[in-house]
Amino acid sequence: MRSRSALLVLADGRLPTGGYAHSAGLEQAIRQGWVTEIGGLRDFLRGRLHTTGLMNAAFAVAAWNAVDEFMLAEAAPARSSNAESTSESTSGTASTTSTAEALLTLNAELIARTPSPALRRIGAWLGTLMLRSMRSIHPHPLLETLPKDLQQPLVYGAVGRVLGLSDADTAATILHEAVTGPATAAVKLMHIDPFQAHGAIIDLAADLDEAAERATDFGRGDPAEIPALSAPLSDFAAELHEGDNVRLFAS
Amino acid sequence: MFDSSLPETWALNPTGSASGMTCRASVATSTDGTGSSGRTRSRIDGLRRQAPLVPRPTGASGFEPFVDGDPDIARVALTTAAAGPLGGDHYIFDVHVGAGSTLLLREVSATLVLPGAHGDPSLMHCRVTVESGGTLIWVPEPVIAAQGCHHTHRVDIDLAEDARLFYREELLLGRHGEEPGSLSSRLNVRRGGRALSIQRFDLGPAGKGFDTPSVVGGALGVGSVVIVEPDGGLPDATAIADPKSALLPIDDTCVQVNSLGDDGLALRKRLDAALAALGEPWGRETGWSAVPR
Amino acid sequence: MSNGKRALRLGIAGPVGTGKSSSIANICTALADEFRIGVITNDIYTDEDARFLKAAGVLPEERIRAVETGACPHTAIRDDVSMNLLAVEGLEEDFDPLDIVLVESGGDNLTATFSPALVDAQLFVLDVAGGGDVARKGGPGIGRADLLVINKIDLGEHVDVDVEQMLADAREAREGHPVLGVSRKIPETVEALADWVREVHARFVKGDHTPVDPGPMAPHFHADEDAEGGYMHTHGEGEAAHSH
Repeated sequence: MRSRSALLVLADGRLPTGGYAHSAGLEQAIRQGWVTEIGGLRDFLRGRLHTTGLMNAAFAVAAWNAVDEFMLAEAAPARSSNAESTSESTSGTASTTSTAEALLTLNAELIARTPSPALRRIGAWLGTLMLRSMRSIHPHPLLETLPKDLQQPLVYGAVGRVLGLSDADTAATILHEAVTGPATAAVKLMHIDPFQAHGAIIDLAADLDEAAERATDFGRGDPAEIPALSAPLSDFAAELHEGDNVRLFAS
Repeated sequence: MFDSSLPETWALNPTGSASGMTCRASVATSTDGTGSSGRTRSRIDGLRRQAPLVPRPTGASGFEPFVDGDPDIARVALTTAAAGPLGGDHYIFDVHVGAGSTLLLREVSATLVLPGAHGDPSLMHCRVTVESGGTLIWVPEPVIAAQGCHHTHRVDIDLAEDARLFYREELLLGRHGEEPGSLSSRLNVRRGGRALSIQRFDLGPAGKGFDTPSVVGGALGVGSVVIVEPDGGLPDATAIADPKSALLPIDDTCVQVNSLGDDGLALRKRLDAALAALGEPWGRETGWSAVPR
Repeated sequence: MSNGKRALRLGIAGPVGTGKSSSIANICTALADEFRIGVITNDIYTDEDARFLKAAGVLPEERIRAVETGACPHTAIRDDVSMNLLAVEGLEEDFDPLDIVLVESGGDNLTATFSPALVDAQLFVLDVAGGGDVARKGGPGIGRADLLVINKIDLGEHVDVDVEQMLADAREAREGHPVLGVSRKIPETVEALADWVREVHARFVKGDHTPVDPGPMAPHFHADEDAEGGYMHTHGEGEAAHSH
């Protein structure tokens, strides 16, 4: 698999997976007066990447590693035509089940770290969107066996695996999206120009790389020990946003 | 590598060993027949003290969430006989609430975490189990991260499927006018072995991005309350009293309150207001008092 | 995906304020007894349209769902249809079987059209109050949507628009594709709109309906590509993109 090219596709904001309708709480943070200028935006992004972004990236890495090797091989389109022996298809079913169970456990761990009901709902919606889109973009049997309503980072992990990315690159993708989403939204929400918004992302490059490394380490370990890295203002923003009738972004 | 029982513990020295004081204390409760109220009576049947952690039996005072004034429950106050934890100290506090029993656990004063002589990291690890039908009401005082400290405050609460919990946590960044130390607070509430409410706040100089508008902004007080009520009846919708405080439903039998405050007083007021809005038996409109209640 | 049993997916596009929501209300009112209908609305920054339709009482509320498009309504129907597609599929699954799902685009400019990945057919709504010359301007929606609706024809005299001329301009721009003048105050025009939907649905059910992509670009003129002095063309689906 050409993983570098696939990485660029997965990290591209134009990938049709519905993310563009979300500001990751930035619209509400601006409405509340918590973010008012470019410095505030930079801080907002930095806080987000080291908390929610890092945690989500760690869960994506955990999901990547939860996909059973045997199952991935078993599910590969090239081999699906010559499933010969009964024993092979039986163990294939077993690994489908074990992968699904592992992903459901991870989903429960992630939900327990997401106290905002709005963020849990949005996470499941974005996960469903990504899965729906990737099934059309790059059909793969593994994507047909994932449990329903998985939170988005877990779908990212499975998709990264299917696309042949490394777990570390999958983590980097999530962190990239965690800042580019709100930075792109910022241009519609604040009196800043698009050059400043992207300058803020470049300024955070070292932070993003470091967070991706930490996320990879956490994600490869015991899922129960993945840090929650709570971000209460992001939780409040998500809940306050639900109550606002006039809004540009869904979250 | 890290001690496997304490994976990825913030900034602990790599051997996981204490350079300061190591201390273990514990509390255990069980049932003891029927009390004067006609309900199950609880008794303290294990109380291990090791200076500076000294748990002692105590009586009822002020408003008590869920168990208010009940004469038949077990009440313990945790007192600290010395300043600390200091840098290098490792404290372990074990709580075991036996099947059907009820424990109210409070503290006499706030925990002031100081850096100690060598600036080594310190650890407070609370390991809690609540068995079937048990109730733990734990209302500790704030943990204050004094300048220069490197403290990990970890609370693991393992609940039986039908156990009940009220747990409050208040984290303060520095004493008045002081630059804060580094404080990593982890709360892991599991029920039947499954994750229920898991939080972690990495605050102070080592907490990357903590003081930003997506995390805690300029707040110096960060607090939460977790309530688990197996009989249900908790709100199923978010309640936001003001933009810095929210009651968030986790599931049918669990809610979490998260609040921020410019200082400890503002934080306590927000938590109390959210609990008062939740109503009896968890909270009540009361005049605020600076003394621990 | 298409098993021949799913609903006909019908898109409604057009600029802000031309009457997309009221066209949906008209269709629902006329056809609610014949067809099982669901509606997806796309708003720019509110759920106003969903609330309008719910308040109009033309359908059970739960069959009207709003999709928030993050201030990019044209993206939601063309570049990234994932949200709308999932919403349509969700509605079809929850109210199985549905006959028709109407997808209302957030009001946008004249170039916004639905992707064939999202809808089987689409109608484009203009109104006389927007000016009599709009139809002449053409564009993918006006020129090649399955149906062009010129709405609010009862207002012509109040806004100095010659309705018949506007309809004639539109028919010319569309080279014979259907155009309907509609006013909710003139029942036979609403009935004509309903007839058009009936006809498309009948073709869809029989398998005779072929979705046509109006394309994101208007027919346009290449000045120097032809020795005869340029030519008019459109870009078919799958044709390699080129820059002008």
